[in-house]
Amino acid sequence: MEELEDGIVFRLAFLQADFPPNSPHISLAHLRPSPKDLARAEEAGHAPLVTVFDAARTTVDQAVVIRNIPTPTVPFFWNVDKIIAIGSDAWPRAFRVFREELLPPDNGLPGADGHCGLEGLQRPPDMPIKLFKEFREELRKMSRPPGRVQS
Amino acid sequence: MTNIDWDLPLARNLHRAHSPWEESAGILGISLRFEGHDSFECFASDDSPSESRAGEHELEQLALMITNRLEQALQFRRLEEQLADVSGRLARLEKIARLHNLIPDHEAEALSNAWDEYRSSLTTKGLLSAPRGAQLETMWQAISRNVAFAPAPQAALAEDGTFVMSWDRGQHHLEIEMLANGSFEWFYMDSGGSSREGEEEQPVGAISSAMRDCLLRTFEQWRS
Repeated sequence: MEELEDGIVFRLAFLQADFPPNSPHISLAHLRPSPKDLARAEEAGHAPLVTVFDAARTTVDQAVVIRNIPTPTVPFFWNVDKIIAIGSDAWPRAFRVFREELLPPDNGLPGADGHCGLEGLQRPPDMPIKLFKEFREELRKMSRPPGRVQS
Repeated sequence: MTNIDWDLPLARNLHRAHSPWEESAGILGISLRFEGHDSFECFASDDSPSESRAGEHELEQLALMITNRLEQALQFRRLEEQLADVSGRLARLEKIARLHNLIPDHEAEALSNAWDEYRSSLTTKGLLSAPRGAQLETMWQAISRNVAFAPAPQAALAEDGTFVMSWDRGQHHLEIEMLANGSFEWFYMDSGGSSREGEEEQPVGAISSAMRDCLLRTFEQWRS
């Protein structure tokens, strides 16, 4: 899988039960791998990947069609170079972003080539849980809603 | 309409000073001002033609009405001054109460009410099952029992059924993940220091002393 080193990615947060509904950062709930993400990873034999989209290849509207979830969504954006900078000496690059090809028929949808997977949101068995949560919180705080420039 | 501006000392003696008015034709309205900024208007008759001459009886009536209105106005003014004084005292008391954390601010209170409604809506909308809703309520009651003031969190439901609550204020971050299996995890981080605390596989409603310390440390930030 091709790994991204820079650019901007976004994740759609499904706002079915968010409180308050207009938070400046993505909720932790939307950074947990879904049962589908876990099943896909097990089938493919790699670490779970949480769906994100390469903003250079996929628009938010295209991503909404690809994800096909009947609830309101809000995109949250990250700079890839900042994502991959999260880590420690013992755990460099706690998160990584890979291009992930969609399966038919979704791979034929407009913007499908921007589908990516964010690795690192399932704690590796040997990573201390507090360290994992610290990294995840750092990632969450980096997220920004549309229209916000990352400082 | 003929308007006569009258200052307060004259208006007070209006019942004895109506003779100049008799010379004025068509007095329909009189506006009085005193102390430079209050204004009152009295009318002898709404339907008198402006060119008609007011009679002595009408002027006496008018003078009486103006005197009454002035008395009312002065009483009202005194009440206003008293009210302003009380309001000022209340504002100072409220400021002192806020400084001593005796009352939450209105924004936090509104958010807290919205949070209560949100929790009950999760089960009525079918987003949480009744047992999971009860677990959330148990958890929230346990948190509330352990702290004097629990601000509303950022909360959301994950696709895997985990219910997440988190609080961020300044350098303090606290999160609680209520897992679908009925246990919960919590994590506290002080990004300005090295403090990282947390526990896993806790039964819902069980607040350890370490968790209580972190709840207090985080929630305290809402009061400062």
